[in-house]
Amino acid sequence: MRCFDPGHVHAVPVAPILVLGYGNPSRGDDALGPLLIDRLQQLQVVGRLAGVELLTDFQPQIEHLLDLLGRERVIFVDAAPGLSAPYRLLPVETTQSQTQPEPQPEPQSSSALQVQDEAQIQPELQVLGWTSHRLTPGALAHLFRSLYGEPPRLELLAIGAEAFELGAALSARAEQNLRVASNWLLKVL
Amino acid sequence: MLSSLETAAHPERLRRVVIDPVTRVEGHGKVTLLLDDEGHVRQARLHIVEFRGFEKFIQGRPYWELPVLVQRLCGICPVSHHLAAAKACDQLVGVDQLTATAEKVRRLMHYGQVLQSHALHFFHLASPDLLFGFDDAVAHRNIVGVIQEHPEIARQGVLLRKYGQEVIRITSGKRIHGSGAVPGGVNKAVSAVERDLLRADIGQVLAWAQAAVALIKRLYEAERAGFDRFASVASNSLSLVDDSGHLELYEGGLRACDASGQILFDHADCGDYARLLREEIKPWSYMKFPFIAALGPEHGWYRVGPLARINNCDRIATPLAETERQAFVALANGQPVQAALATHWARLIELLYCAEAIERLLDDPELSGTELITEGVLRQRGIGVLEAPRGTLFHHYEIDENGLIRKANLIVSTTNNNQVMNESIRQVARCYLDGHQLTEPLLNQIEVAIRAYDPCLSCATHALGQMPLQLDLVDADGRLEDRLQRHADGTVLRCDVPDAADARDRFGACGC
Repeated sequence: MRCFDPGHVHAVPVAPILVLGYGNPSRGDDALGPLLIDRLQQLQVVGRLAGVELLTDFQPQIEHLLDLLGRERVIFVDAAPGLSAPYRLLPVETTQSQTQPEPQPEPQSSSALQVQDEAQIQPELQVLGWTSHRLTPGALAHLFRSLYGEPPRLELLAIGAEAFELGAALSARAEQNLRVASNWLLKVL
Repeated sequence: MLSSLETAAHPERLRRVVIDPVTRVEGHGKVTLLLDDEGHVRQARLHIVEFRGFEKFIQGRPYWELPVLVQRLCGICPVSHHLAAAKACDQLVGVDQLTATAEKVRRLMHYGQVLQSHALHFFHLASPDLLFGFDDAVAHRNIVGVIQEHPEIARQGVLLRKYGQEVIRITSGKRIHGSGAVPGGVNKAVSAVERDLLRADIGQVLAWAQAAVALIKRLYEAERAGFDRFASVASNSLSLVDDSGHLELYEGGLRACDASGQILFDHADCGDYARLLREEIKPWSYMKFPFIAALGPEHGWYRVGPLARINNCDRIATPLAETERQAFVALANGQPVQAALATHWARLIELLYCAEAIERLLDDPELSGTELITEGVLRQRGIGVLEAPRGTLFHHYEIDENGLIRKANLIVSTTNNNQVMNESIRQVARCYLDGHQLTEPLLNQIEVAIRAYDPCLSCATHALGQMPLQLDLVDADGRLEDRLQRHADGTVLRCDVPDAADARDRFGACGC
């Protein structure tokens, strides 16, 4: 067994389904992803959700590519400000456009002079996160395909969130959304 | 000495450019440039919205929660905060010397953290600029481009990062929010099975680390003249060294050297940090500006991190990294290397050092010992200092008689580098932007300078779909003259300008 082999942690075959919830537990509604994982872990303790691996992290990172290996399905779970519904399940391939469910006002670009022709932007870059050490699930999907071939079925469970203050508890709305999203996820897993 | 570009004489007469936020750094950074009518840069500032609320957040909490709690300070370097807090807690519980097993398990965890952090930064964040050039097309100058053109390099980056994460998982008990380090020691040793797991890949990790150093040497030497000059700033350096003056990341004394390499203080007790260092507040930044007290704020600012550490140390205790250090210091004929881009080279020497140090520890039987905790008598003050991936990290706590946090002071690595990062962008603004029309490649040169320091802004929040990049050119009356926007999908557009009132509203709040 090697560090780089998938499944080495338990020395058993990789679970076909991975649920990866991410966020900072100390920043209000940003805790939605980890909290959903907590709920599912409690169910695993009593013997439910066999065949499902549960992971939590602060944010998607490049090493999560290796967590995708050998899976049939991966569901990312994240807090989503601006979501009118309690949750939405989004295919990751189109993450960038669909994780802004309430479209932001267009920048002053209706007659924009394009510094760089949009047609020159590779489609896969439209799923890349540009602004920090983190990656988006869509970027992971693209990087996975580049390095390892066709990725498993990837989805993002976006749960409605509204407040991200340090030290804050979940907002009442996020609490309710978490309950609804958890119940739904349990039915489909 | 502070740059003349820190504060312009008549800012109200100048045009303002804002780069907000800076990309491929952790958290939020903003750069403002003030230009005169001829396009000459008169003022350049890096603003960072530092995460100062944390010290308040932990007041009143019991000290024993600290090693776990502080990991939520940052999603990028939680292990550094975990260990710095644990070191401070050692002092709070009256322990000055850990058991051999506890110290070695913590060191292993720390080397794993530095290794994975340096791998992430170089392969994922910095290599696109270095492999393709600062002015390469933005659609290509990223990790996707690296994977397409250099798939083996990209793969090695992923696996090096993964290996470091495995070291962390094994030593801290969990992939994240680990609890391995506790006040007075650790709560688990490394089992024989775990040791064998890490041993199986360490040879490969070492080979990749050596290849990474060879790659950065090749890239640097190919652009030697330009890289030596780019964002180069003569500064003091601060870092830990061990008793023999060797590179030290976990435990040691503070050494400060001036820009010529002369030692300012050496083997200083970390508990004296508040006497040796001061922090200046400037009205235009939320982040403080630390300086060496004896030199004052104008001359006492310093650099921390890989470049400072490699410049400051006399030797590295592992052979491969030491050989690379000797090649590195030859760059400046034994004087401190001051080129910001040489930080990448220094960072990879440290990556190699960490791989060697991990290999050594894995062969040390004490790593699997049974004496994990030392006990002592409760004290009211604890100061934990270590070398985090980005530089010297200070955690200082004071508790009341019930063990509750009464006072906390954290000086994170990025704060230590505040002034030198500002000086670097001023050098770039002066040499490369002065008098030119704004373009994305020019904008990126500022960002390349900042990224060399790998600033981490201690914020793990990552709301979906936020943080575009925008660069605005505003005239002295607040009218927006020009705007570039880089969206989250990577597209870069030049936009119609909104009205002047909009621009004034936007910049009225930026505090500069």
